[in-house]
Amino acid sequence: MNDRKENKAKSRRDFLQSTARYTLAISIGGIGGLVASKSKTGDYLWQIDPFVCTQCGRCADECVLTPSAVKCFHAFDLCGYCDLCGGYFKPGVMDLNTGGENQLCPTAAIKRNFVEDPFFEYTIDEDLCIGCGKCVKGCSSFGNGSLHLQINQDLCVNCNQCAIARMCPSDAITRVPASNPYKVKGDFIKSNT
Amino acid sequence: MRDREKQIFALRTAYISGIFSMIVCLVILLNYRQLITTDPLESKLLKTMVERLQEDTSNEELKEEIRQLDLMTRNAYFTDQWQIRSGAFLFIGGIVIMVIALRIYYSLKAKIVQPQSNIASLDLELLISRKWILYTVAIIFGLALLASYLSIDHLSKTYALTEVQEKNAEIPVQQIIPKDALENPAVNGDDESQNVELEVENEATQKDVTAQVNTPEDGEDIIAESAEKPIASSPKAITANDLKNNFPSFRGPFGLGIAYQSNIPTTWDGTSGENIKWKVKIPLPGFNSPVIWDKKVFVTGADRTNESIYCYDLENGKLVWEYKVTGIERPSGKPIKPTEDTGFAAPTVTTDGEFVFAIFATGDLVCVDIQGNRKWSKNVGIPDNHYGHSSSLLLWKNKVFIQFDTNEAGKILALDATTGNQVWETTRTSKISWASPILANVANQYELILSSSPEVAAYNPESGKELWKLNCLSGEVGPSPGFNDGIVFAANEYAKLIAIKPGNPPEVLWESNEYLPEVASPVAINGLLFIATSYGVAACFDASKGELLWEYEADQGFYASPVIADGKVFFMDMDGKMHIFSIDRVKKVVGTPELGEKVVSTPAFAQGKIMLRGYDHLYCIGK
Amino acid sequence: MNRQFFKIVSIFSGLLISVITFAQQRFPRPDFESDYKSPSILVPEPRHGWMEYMDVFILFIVLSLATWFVLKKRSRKGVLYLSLFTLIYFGFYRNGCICSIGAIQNVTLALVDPMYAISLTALAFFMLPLLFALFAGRVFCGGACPLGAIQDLIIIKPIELPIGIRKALGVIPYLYLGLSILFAATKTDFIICRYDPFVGIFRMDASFNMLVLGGSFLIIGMFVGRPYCRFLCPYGVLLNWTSSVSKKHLTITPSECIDCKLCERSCPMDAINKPVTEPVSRKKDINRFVLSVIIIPILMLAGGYIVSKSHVYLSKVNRTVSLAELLITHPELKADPDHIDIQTFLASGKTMDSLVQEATVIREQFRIGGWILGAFFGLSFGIMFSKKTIYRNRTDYEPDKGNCVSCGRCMDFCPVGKEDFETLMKLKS
Repeated sequence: MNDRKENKAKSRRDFLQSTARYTLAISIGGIGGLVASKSKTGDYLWQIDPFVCTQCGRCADECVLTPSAVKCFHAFDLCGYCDLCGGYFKPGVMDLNTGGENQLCPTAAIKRNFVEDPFFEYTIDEDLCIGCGKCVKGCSSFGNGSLHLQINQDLCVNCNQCAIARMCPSDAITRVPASNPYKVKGDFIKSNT
Repeated sequence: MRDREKQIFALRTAYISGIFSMIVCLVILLNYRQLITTDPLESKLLKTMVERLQEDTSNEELKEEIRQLDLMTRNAYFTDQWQIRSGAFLFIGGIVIMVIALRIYYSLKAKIVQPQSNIASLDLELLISRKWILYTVAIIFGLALLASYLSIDHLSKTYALTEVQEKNAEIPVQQIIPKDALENPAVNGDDESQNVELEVENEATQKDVTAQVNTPEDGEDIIAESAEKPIASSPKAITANDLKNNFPSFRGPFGLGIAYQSNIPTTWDGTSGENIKWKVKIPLPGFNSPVIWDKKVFVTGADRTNESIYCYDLENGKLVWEYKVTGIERPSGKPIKPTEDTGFAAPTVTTDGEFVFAIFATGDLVCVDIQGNRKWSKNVGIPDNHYGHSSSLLLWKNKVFIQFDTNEAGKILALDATTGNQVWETTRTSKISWASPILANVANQYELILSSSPEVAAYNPESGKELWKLNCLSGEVGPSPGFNDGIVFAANEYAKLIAIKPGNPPEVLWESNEYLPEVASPVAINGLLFIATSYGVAACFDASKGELLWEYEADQGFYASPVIADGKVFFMDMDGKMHIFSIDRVKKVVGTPELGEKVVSTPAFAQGKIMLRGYDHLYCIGK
Repeated sequence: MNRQFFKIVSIFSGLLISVITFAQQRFPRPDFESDYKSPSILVPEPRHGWMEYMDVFILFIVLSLATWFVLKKRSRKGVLYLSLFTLIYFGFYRNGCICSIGAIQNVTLALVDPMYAISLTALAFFMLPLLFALFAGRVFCGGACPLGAIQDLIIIKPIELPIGIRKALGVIPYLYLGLSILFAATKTDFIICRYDPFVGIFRMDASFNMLVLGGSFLIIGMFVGRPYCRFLCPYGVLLNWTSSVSKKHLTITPSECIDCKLCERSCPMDAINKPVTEPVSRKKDINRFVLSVIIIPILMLAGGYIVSKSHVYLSKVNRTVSLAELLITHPELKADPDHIDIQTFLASGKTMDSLVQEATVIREQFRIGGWILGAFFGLSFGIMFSKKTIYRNRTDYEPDKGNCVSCGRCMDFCPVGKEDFETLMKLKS
């Protein structure tokens, strides 16, 4: 008698459990299906829009990596090859030479090479670059803006929520399709939005 | 026994690796702290040393010191990072060994424990569970309630409140701050008839005025009155003579750099106070130049959040009124980021004695009447300008001209002075520039002449039609054009100095690149052209041939434009030292009085006085 | 009227064709007389896309293996080695990102905002462990979660926590889950990822505070089994639900429990239910249970009301809202040149009105979200409470299906079916 009662309770419990199980399975599947059908899917990476960037300097500090995955990129096609480069020299510099007192870059990551009178080529040593954007500010304020910040996708760990994007005051960091992972100046045309 | 030995060994290993990891961890933490507190890349010492060097450029020793410190800081930064990284590996290694050793130790030590015979009462267990769940939930909800009562919704409460207050304050009075009793405010009520009278009066006294005004030399041509016929619709048509009696805009009447004034002092001293009639501090910063009409001096000041027009009494320096610009709807656009040495208030105001017009780096344009009441205001578009908008306004025949050359496009526009509505707008082929427009009387016809990169161009001020243009300049053009005796002068550093005879096509009379100005505009009179460079050379050329007549080297560079007044030419250098020369083919220094404050604004001259604006103060100089 | 700094050194040499996208280039690119060729800009390629799918595949394999080890093979060693692999691959190699726990937020955001593009990898990472839990229990926690693995491997001498503390702390994951969903749905922040204590250790790089947090979790974890999993993990809540109704689950004993009590202290997670043979006053219990169930809707309403009340406070986490409020309460900061956020806002030309408008919209979202969140809290707390009003009689030692993470430790302790045990039994008989 008691046994039968127990058995009955057990089968009732089993029934309830399996009902709950299949309801949950259907709802998980439903959520998955809804998400997959309703929103866009695809692989995305984080990238900086150099036309929106205001070079606040947070990229150097906020990235989860040290040094930051943000590096300075140089669009040579846009460079004026100036002798007095606003991205290379501190403001108010007297002698145009590579002395430590003249360089804007805190880690001396920009190399200045003589091309021909009066032109100089500027290249970035990525190992030294910390992504502080000081040179970018100088170049876009006083020059062509050929120096610009980009996230080096080789270094970026593609966090679920980019720590720099969260702190970016101008919302310049957005997700871009993995098929087109850079917004390098020159290739990439300023959007009017 | 073997197990016991193993156990002891495991325990010792755990101890050693644990202590090792702790030491490594401590070192890392110290290192980390140091890296954060004294960020080597932001070394303050280095910064101050560089600043010192910029003042004392020849100090080779200091230079060497900076270089060494720079290298040291960079080394420190990268080695610190390397240390932290390798320290972290050591630490993790130590921890892994410790964990493994401890696990071995405990697994060897583990004994089969005697099962506890008395099982705690389940009822009691459930009771405790319920109690604690209840406590926690109560705490959570309690905290949420506390948070909701402690936080104020500033968005809907505070903001809405201040908004209402601001709007209320704005409707009845336009935020005038009267500092002095104002003269009868009803003056602009009765206009038409009075204006006609005034006009007649002006016509009648015109000859007297010209006779009275001590023009530098008699050869100087008088701008023909025939060009202007008073327009009936305008509230008050001003004549060229009204302008010449005053100093109504940047670089004086028509922006030509010539003040038709006399009895101008040539000696003063800012430190002893000699000939300084008064001196006041202007509340907001600005590099615009003073403008004088009758007994009133107008300047503006602005920072990121405030924009003000100030009216001072020429006689005693009292602030007559201040108009604070508010309530202008700005379009969203490029960020407004003027550099420090341009600022938000670089453009100079213009006035016709009845209304004052001011523009700021934000593109805010305001018209206030002479008592400081707002007539109209608008935003002409946020100038996309990497230094900051600096082109000054010019007013003529009830039109305000704005040279609006930005990174987006070059254009010139004319607004109706009474309403602020656009009269015409002409798109230019020029790049961005910082120069101001001038009005030149070319063969009894006024031409609005602008200099910019790459062109110097002239427009009909009535219609905005382009009359002629010449591609001759390059770079970032700051100097405005000069004009005298039918010749237009334009110049820019790293480009050239050029004399143009207006016409279609324009004719190049001569070119030179001996001394080129960067900021200061050329000024010419009596066949002589004066140039002031940013590296401190004042030069005089023969205006018709381009031959260098004399040169003079000052200790400081010139940003303020030279102005001709009372038969002399006044060069103000950046240290506040005025270099006064007679208008002559040979160099004759009249005096070099000093103000004692840095100056980049162009001086204004009227009623026997000079108005000078230093970085902070406004000075009135008079005998 | 303008300024000095820049001097034009480039001389216009002939006509230059301006670059199409840059009509406004200030200094045109020079025509080089020498045969100088400018280098091209280097853009390092990101990690290959197919490797993301590889991660999904590996997750699937690890989950299947864990199921096999737990249910069929009954091997603690297998689970241990699997978790070591997980720690190395998903933890140290993949830097703890992508992970199922964080994927909650991606799914939430994708449900709320159709413009948000979710990667299929994230979706798969969200769904796979839950589906496995429905049929085999929390095998994900035991074998495939890098956060679980690092904590499991450092358990040295776990102590048994008092029941009260366990229950009180056990409320936190619900709170964490609710808040993380609210913050993700309002596009405020991904707090799960931001406050992940172990991701800094996986990357060997983190801010000082996060390193300290991670370190303290590990130190506590030596003596308290899996503190993050039990008292914080928001995904654990979902796994708890699904696992409670799982079809199959890890069992301590392969056949009949002999009540030897050997396994009693074996679980570091305190997830073994002891046999109960107390006389039950059924009626009293059922009354209490019914009463607590009736209270649930009231709790939900109260929760919704209270949490929606605190929406003002919660929404201050949002950057737009906090910036707007900062500007309203401290307008003098507008003159502070070092305040990057304010200066950037001022320079953007955006009006204060539009900022406040934006912030108000977000705050309204928080208000509505607060109701839903509060109701969820009320519901889950109510269920948690009512579960503790009733109990079933049990004759065997059984794992608690919701809380057990399938690490398999208890299986090692059970003598049933072990070789030496069999011989011992035989000898006895």
